[in-house]
Amino acid sequence: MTENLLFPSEDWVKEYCKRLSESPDYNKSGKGWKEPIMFRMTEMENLKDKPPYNSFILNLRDGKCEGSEIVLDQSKSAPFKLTATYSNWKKIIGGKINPTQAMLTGQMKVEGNIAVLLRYASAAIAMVKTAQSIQTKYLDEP
Amino acid sequence: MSLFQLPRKIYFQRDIFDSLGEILRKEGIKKVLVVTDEHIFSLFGERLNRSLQGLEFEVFKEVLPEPELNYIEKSAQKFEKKGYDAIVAFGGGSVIDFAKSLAIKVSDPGMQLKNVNPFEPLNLRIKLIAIPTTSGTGSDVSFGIVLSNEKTKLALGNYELVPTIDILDSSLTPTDKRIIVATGIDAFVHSFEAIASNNSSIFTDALAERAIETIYHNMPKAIDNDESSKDLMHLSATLAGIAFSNSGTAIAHALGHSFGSTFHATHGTSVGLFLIPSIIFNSQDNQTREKYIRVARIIDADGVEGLIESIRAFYSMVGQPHRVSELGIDREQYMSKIEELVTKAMQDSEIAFNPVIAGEEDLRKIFIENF
Repeated sequence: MTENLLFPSEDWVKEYCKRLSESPDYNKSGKGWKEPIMFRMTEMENLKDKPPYNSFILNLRDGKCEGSEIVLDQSKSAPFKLTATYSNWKKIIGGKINPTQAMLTGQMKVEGNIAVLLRYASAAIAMVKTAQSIQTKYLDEP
Repeated sequence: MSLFQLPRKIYFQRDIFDSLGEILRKEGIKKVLVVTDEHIFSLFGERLNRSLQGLEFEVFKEVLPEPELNYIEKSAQKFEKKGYDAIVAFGGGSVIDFAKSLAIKVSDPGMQLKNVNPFEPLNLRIKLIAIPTTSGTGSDVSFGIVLSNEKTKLALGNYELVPTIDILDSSLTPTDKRIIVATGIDAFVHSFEAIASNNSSIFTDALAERAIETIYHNMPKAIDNDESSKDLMHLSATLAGIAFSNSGTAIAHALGHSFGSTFHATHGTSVGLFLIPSIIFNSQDNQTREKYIRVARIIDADGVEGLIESIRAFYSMVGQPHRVSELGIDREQYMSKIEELVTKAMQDSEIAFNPVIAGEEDLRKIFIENF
């Protein structure tokens, strides 16, 4: 039986990157995308065993994930940044919030070239579906 | 957090336009800018002036089809310091899009229209009132704006751009059969796309289902200018508009936008061409298939296949083409543009709401098969 991976552990991020490259939906919807994306979690202060970082970067290119990086340096950035509370990330990954709605209602803050990002909104859906395929456990769960 | 947004008030009744002044006074509006185009003003200018007697108003009737970004930015300068309480958008989609853009510029003259996006607040300082003169676009209740910018289409949107008040009067709508069909099909497709969208909700489904039922049963009479059918078509276009504005549209719009801009075909006709292929494509998703089956029941059809047959018969009855070749487009010319069509459709933001993720291969196949 596969062990549940803790979000956002390095193992989870690496598995996510691997599965994105293997996802036919992401391969086709992310075709043409060229920039890394930073995923940032806020409101993690009160979580037990929280990691010493709150962000990770995926190096996405042409429908594949070419690598991932845990961000320890707070000054580090990426051309695109998606920021949400830990609790909202959990809901997005769990399929309780549609990522498009999350962006439209400000539950997920978006930084970067919005016009480009909107063109790849279906890639965002594919990314969420891929995240949902990972057996995940969360910091606020026993 | 999910959001369902709609105008604060919808006034509706045939000839209610003649009570526009009364409505504005009731809403506490004293000084108003009416935005329209020459054609609409030539048809209804007298009624407008009569209705607005006693109010302080100005009419800007220089809106051109598919408004250009630079033209709007330039025109807006005239109105920045006039202190209007409201902008009344009186016309079709272009007029309403123009008026929404003016509302942004009047509220914040420094705002670049191309920077408008759904994620950052606009803080509009003026009320937007829409009086649509076609039954189809849904722009009277939507948060979107489509502008032209150096030969490309710029699709912008923000929830604050949903007009506060919508006034529906089907006496203002065209009598020309071709326009009734193209705009009615647009509303019909909006409804199907709202139902299919991965962002749909019980609210949007309810409105879209009723719109499909009403359009399906009333368009054949509306094209002969039957008043009560046209009244219902006008309301249904708004139902569909509220639905898709909250759910997003889907692949038929991405394909239709691409086709329409490449072959200069009417919007409604273009999206209508790709409705059936999109139903077939999206039926591979079980949840969407179930929703189509529900729609089929509403119009007395049997399953998805029956629904498609009913739509085909409906198209034939009202005169909507089924395939690209029916528009008289040369096969060779069409096939030479397939890659351009695919690229444009892939770049259309509406594709994001499709329940089945579509890639280049999927779109290419649909474009080729639908000739």
